[in-house]
Amino acid sequence: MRCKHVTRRLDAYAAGEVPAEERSRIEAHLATCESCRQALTNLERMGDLFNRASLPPVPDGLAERVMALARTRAASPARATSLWSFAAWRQALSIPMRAAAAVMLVLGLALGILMGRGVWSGPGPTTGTANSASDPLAAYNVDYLTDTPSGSLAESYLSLTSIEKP
Amino acid sequence: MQAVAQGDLDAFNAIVLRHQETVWGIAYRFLGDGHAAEDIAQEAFLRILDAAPRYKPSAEFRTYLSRVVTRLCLDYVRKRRPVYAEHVPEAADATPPGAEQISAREDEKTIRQALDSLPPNQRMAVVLRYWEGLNCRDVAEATETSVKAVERLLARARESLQPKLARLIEK
Repeated sequence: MRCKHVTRRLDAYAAGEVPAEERSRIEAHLATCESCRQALTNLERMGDLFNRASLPPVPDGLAERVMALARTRAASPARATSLWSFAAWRQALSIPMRAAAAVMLVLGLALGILMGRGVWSGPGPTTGTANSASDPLAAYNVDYLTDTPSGSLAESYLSLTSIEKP
Repeated sequence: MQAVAQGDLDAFNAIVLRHQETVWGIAYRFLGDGHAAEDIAQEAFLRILDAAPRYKPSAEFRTYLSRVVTRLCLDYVRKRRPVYAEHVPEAADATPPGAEQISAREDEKTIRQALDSLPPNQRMAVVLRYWEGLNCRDVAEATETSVKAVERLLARARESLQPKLARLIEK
């Protein structure tokens, strides 16, 4: 048996947690190895030292504070799990609320697609090099800075929301 | 725990009263900071309360409890820079300390500094093994590692602590 193995198993040996066969092999090693014997002595003394070190008493009212928090949680079971957990949030919603949320989501997506299509199907970026020298929008293909396509939903929206200049 | 899972707060209160010293002891020994240890102790019990419906008694309750506190303590030090304790809790009495008390405080300060110099996983293994008296298998379960790894952690910790505590060990 080598020192490395004995050193690793020393703690279990000192606590009487090793099987009898291994124990006798460790003892045979300890009988011949001064360094491992010293390590065992140090381990035992270290244990005594830790046992002598005091521990401050449990803070006054710790249990009461824990129980007060526990009662608060018990009063609001949704919070007892995690408020931010999606599963908990989903469970907290009733079926009609879940259905309403799904409908809103679908409507929002449909509206987004509709508006996007209006913009997408408009005239493409101005091509040709003739204008590029004088028109930076054409030169850099920044067509999203051009006017909205005629007749698109985006145009209607902008005309409703824009303020007419005097 | 089965009663706690059914919402029995009296049963939970009994658990808190029975195990508060263990939870406080692990957190305080590991962190060396009373305020942080108290926060961890509170959080540990609340985690246990939350987890009660999912609790499966696969290990001894004390080991399970140690695992909860261990996770919280290790998370705590991962998120915060280590603070090397320069203080030992002051005695509550106003009488000036005698030579023996001063010596005891100095010894505790030396132990604290030696512990704080260990990497968190070694420190936790030392706390669970030498203070809480858990066997290596339970320490492994609490720290979510193997028995072999715990034995190595303890051997390395002893090696690091030895020169720092030599004066006290030989007293």
